[in-house]
Amino acid sequence: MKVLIVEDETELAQSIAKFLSSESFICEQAHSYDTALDKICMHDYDCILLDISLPDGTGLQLLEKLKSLKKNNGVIIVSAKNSIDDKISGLNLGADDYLAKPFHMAELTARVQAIVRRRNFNGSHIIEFKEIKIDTDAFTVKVLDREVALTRKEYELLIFLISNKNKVISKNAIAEHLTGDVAEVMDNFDFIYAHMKNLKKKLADAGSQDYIKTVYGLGYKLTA
Amino acid sequence: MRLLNVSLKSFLYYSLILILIGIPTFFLSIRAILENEVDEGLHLQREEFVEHIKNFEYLDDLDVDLRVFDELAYDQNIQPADRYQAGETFKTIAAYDSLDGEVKPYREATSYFVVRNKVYKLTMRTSLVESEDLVIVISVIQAILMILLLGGFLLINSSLSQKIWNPFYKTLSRLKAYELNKNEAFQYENTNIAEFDDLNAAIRSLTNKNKEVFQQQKEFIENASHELQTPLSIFQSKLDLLMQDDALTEEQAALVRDLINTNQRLSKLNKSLLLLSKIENEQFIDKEAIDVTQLLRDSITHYQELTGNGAIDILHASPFILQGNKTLTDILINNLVRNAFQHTVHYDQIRIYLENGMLSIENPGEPFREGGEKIFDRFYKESSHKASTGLGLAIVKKICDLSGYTLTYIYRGNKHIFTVKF
Repeated sequence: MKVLIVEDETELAQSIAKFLSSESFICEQAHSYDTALDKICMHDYDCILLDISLPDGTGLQLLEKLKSLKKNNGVIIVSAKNSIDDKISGLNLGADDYLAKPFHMAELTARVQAIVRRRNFNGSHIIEFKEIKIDTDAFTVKVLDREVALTRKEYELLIFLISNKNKVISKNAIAEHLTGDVAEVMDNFDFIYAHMKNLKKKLADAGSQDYIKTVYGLGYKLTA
Repeated sequence: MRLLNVSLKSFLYYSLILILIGIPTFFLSIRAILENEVDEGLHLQREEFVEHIKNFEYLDDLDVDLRVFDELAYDQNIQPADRYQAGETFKTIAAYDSLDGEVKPYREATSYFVVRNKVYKLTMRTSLVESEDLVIVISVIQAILMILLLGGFLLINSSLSQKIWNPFYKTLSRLKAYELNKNEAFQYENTNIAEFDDLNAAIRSLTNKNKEVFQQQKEFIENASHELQTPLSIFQSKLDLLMQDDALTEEQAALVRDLINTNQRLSKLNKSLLLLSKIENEQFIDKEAIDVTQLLRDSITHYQELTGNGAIDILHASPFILQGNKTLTDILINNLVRNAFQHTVHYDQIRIYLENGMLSIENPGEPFREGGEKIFDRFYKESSHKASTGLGLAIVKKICDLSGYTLTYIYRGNKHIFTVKF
C-alpha cells in the first residue's frame, strides 16, 4: 500500500515515513505543494497525509486538485491549526479524516489503516491477526471461528492494537484513542489496565494465544 | 473632593479671613473717622464761641451772664477755672439723657479760655448716638454684602460644576465603561472646550494604541501556539520511534515514558492556550440550536470508565435547547464536568443539575486555601494535579463572558458548586 506524506517539516515527514514503512506501507514524501502536485498527478496512492499549510500552497488546494483528477485515494488532513473551519472545508472537499498536531504515531497508523480498509472494497472489512478475525462491518470478533463478546472499548482497543501490531503503543496513545480529551482526568491509567486485562482474558478464554505484551512502564505491544 | 470644591474652599477661606479682619477694621476706622469729625466740629464750635464771647467783653457783668449761659445751655458748661491750659482735650463719656431716660455716649471737649483776665473752663459735648447708628448701619450693610458674595460663590460654583464639568464627567463615565477587549473605539463628542477636546483626543489615541497592542498580544499567543504545534509533533513522533527500539533497557524505557508524559502535558497546555486565544479572538461566533441535555449526557458517558456501573445522573433534566455556539458550549460543559471529576475521587458524589436554564455541577472536596476568587485565573492551580493545565476554568470563564452566561462558584457543605446560568 502506498502512502504519500505531504508535509513541509522534513523531520516530521521522515518520522511518519519511518514509522509507517515498518507496516507494509510504502511511503513517499513531498515537502512542498509543487512536488506533491507532481506526485499526485503521476502516481496513485492508497492514502495521502495532507498538511494544510505548505510554503507554496495549501493542502486544501491539493484536495481540490485531487477531486478534479477523480483519484480514488483516502486523505487524512494533518494540521497544526486545529481550526474547525479547516476541518469542515477539508471534509467537504473529500478528505476522510482530520488529525490535529501533535498526534501519536499509533493513532495515525490506526487511522490510515481504517481509511485504507474503507477504501478497498474487496472484502477488506475483515481484519485478521493469527487466529483473531474482526469483521468491522458487523462489529464482531471471532477467535478460531468462535465469537467473542467484547465491550465497545475492548473492541476499539483490539483494533487499535492490531493496527499497530509489532509496535509499542504508549498508554497515553491508548488513553487518548479510547476517551479523547477525557484522558487527562485519569492521570493513572488504571482504566487501560482494566480494559486490557478483560480483553486478554476474553481472548484467552476463546482459545487465543496471549499476543499482548507489556513493555516496561511504557505501554503495550501486540506481537505474533 | 471635587476639583471645583478645592478652589472654592480656598476662595471661601480667603473671604472668611477678609471678613473677620475687615468688619472690625472697617467698624473701628469708620468710628475713628466719625469721632474725628465730631472733634473737629466741637473744636470749631469752641473757636466760634470764644470769638463770640470776646465780642461781649465790654459787658461788666459778663461773669454773671456766663454763669446764666452755663445754666441755660444744655450741651455747654462754663466754669471759672484756676489756671489756664492751652489746647483742647477730647474724651467720650457716658451721660444720662433725661429725655430718653437712659445713659448715652457723648463726645466731650474740654478747653480753657480767658475773658477779661478771668480763666474759664469750657466743656462742650455732642451726642454720639447718630454716629454710632451710622457705624452699625454701615457694618450691617457690609455683612449683608459679604453674605451675598459667599452665597453667590456657592451658587455659581455648583452651577459651573454642572455646566463646565459636564463633558468631563461624560468622558469619565465612558472611560469607566470602556473595555479593551471589546472591539470598539473610544467614542466622544466635541465639547468646544480646548482642554476637554484635548483630553478626549488623548484618551482615544491612548485606547487605540492599547487596543492595537492588545490585539497583537492576542494574535501573538495564537501564532506562538500554532508554531509550537509543529515542533511538539516532531518531538512526539521521535519519541514514538524511540519507543520502538528493542534495545531499550528498563531504565531507558522509564526515561522515555517520562518524556512522553511531559510532552503530553506540553501538548495539552499548548492546545488549551490556543483554544483560549481563539475564543478571545472571537473565532466561534456561529450560533445554532443546541440540545444542552444531550451534550451533557455525551460528556458524562466519557467518564463511565471512572464511575463504573454507577452512572452519574443529570438531576431534574428537562429538554433544554439553547441558541448558541455549539463548539463553545460543548467545551464549556466538558470542562466543567472534567473539572468535577478531576478534583474528587468520590465520583459517586458528583451531582449535576440542569433545570430552568441553569446548569449546576457539584463535587465534594476540601475548601480552597485562598478562597474562590482566583479559580478562574489562568494557570491558577490549587492542587498539584499533574494532568491539570490550569486553563480549564479560565476557558469556561472566557466562554461565559463571551456568550453572556453568568458563571458563579460557591463552596457549601464541603462541596464545590459551579453554576452556569444560560
